[in-house]
Amino acid sequence: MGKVKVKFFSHLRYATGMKETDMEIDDGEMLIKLIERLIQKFGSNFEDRIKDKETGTLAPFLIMVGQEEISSVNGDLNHRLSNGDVVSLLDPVGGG
Amino acid sequence: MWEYGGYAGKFLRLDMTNKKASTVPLTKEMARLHLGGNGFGAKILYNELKPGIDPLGPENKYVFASGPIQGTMVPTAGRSGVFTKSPLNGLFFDAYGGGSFGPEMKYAGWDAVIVEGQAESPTYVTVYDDKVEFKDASHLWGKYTFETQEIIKKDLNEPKAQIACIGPAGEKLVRFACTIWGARAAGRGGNGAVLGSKKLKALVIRGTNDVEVPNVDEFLKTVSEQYAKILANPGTGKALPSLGTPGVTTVQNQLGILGTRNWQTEVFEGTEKISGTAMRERLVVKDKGCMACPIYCTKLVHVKSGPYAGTIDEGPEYETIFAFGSNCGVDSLEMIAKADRLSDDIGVDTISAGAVISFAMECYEKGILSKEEVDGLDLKFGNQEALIQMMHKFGTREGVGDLLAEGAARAAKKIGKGSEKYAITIKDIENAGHSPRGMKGYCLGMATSTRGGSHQDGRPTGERVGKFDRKILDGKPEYAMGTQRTTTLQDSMCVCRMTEGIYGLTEVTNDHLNMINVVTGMNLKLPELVDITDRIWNVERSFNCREGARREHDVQAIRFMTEPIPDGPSKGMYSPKDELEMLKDKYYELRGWDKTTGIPTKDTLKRLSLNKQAEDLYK
Amino acid sequence: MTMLLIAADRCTGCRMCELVCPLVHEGVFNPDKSRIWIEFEGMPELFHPNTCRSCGKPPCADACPTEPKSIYRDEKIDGGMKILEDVCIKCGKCIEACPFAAIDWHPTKKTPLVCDVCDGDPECVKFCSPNALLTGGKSTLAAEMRKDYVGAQIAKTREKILK
Repeated sequence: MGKVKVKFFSHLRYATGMKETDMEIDDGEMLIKLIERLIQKFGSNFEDRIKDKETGTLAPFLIMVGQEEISSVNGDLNHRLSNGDVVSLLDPVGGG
Repeated sequence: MWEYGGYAGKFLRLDMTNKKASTVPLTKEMARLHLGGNGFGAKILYNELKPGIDPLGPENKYVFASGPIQGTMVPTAGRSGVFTKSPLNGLFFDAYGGGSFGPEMKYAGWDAVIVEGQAESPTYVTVYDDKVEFKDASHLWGKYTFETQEIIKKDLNEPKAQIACIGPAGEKLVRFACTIWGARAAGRGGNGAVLGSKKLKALVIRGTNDVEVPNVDEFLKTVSEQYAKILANPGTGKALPSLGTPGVTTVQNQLGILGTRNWQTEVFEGTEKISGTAMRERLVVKDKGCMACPIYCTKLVHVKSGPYAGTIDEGPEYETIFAFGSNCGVDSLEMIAKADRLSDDIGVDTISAGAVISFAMECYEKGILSKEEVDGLDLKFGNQEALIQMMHKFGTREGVGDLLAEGAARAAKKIGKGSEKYAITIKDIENAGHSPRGMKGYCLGMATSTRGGSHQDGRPTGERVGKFDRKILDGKPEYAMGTQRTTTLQDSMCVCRMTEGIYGLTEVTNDHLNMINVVTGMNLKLPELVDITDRIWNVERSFNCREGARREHDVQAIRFMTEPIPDGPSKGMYSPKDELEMLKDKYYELRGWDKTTGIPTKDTLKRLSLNKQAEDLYK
Repeated sequence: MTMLLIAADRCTGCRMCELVCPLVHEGVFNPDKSRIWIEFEGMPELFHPNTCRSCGKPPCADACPTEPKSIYRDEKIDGGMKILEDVCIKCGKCIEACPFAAIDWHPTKKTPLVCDVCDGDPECVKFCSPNALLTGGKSTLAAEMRKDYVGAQIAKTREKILK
């Protein structure tokens, strides 16, 4: 057992109503499992903001574990998390 | 319906010198080879401008152009473009704005309006379908853009008219003045100064004609599918409707690629205060969409307290938050909203205005500009009051405003004393709010693009959302060319950049193709469409080469090639010259351009049926 | 029973309704031929949609001088108005009578241009991404607007708790 801090950016904050939250993790829990648990915790409003509703797959966005950047579409979502990790969920906005 | 669906089938030519209007028929060949928008603008200017002319002289021309989709309900069809030889760098420049202006032009029966010559006194032009009148605008000269539009609508009793106009900055030939319609701006490249030089204060358009597509049922099927895709996509269906582009601010900072204090660093300690969420909570009063847009990324804001109370503004967008916020060291959204509203009213591009001020701030802090030289202002980073005073000077050209109204690159040349390296410009265009140092593909895409410091040809999105690894060089020449192809195509259709993730970030797709075919009935094939985008890109490139642009101009700002990002998550990243040159070799090869000169090869031009360009460049 | 209802607060002014309406009615794009439109005012522009309110006792029909009435309610649909183009004498009485200024002239036919709720399945609703346009009975609108109100209260409470 351990704990990670999950930080939300952009509209994921708007959807969750918070900038960050602590999540308990199993030893060596995979990043993808954490994302699935976050979807369970925050519901469809959160899910619709990271998954394409038509295809049901994760939209492209960056996830940072510490300073390491992991792509939601071609990065290693089986990355094993450790106690004390800070996981940042950026968001899939184009434009600017 | 004209030969193809979507088009009106003719261009309007406005001769400002003789106050005469004439019609130019659109040919089927022009539509099939150059598509619209960007394609039309590039083709018209290449054919009609002599090389070497003064952008602010009577020989320059200014083209408003729409694509085949304007006037229809293809999502984001509210957009349209303006094209001219830029007063900032003397090269081809295209800028786009949303709202309803482009569609109204189409309903009036025009695919493009070509403005040429120079009037003797302030003039505005009204276009009611095919009825054109040149009118005296002396009572409008000097007026802000919002007031100008209100006066015209009232005078003409035409609440539905769409009005493109310039503010005091355009009149005073500020080199980064823009064109405003509604509260939208065709922002970049200084096109407002070109209208100012022609003394055209406003172009008023009202149209009552039909726009048609060949098969309504097929059209509705394709549009419904795309509409559903837009709503299902987290970016366009959720993020942009909630926060608009300002949502990106915290993401940029978290990656360490948020331009700060004139790009001295790329992390900003005040980011939380200027974030999209902060804006939504404190200032947003209404969501707004451009015509035919389901994404509604525009946020109407109202500042209710503090020194900027009473400011009502459409926007600010992310770019503006970067330009007046982090890059000027300011952490007040209220001041940013005020500066944004002033930009629209005075008629300047927010990105360049912010960049010019941040340039002056760095010069001031480094002792290159004295307090006397900046009219007694304490022009330190973060000084909000001084920033707002500088904005007003762009509308009057008073004091230091006159020097800075020339743009950062020209101002630096006048100031000297090593200030050139603080002018963060690419091809003399001030850099937009994305990091060439922190994204390798974007860096190359920008350096090789016609527009230089704009973020609209090299694109940051693919790298920022992690579809492509922003830190590696592998595959980046392909990425740069791919993004440029999609931007060229989007700008020629013309659809908004917010749909790039729907149509395809780095390649011409069947989604682009189907939409164009269902609107026009042209029955194009995918390879033909790729050729169209490459043709348009090479017309632009040929325009610039004819003006003397070469391989050595495809570079980044000095700071980006010499100073690594000093701290934050992207610490150490930069774009050394030799690395950029190596990427350029490969890129030119992909493009079919001569590696020594950077000019498209004769074979490339001929393959794209650009025989005139081949003759001009290989005399 | 289908009425076209407007939750004006949610409208983003995108004019998608003005585009799809003439397309499905006349096969062309032309906002001047739309039976629903956005009214813009001021700078920066504020805006709200306007269209037939499906009045229970339509003053436009009362005002129509022809026999039979050339503007009438189709009882099967229970919303919007129908026009008998051949009977209509183009007098404009219905336009004068509408308390919402929601009827306009058709620019070429010169008959009244008024919403017919697409015979019960309004196309504009399908392309209104902010859900400012709804179909249903009058209670639908009240229920929808309550949703906005309750949503705002929940958000406020959440903000208080988290602060």
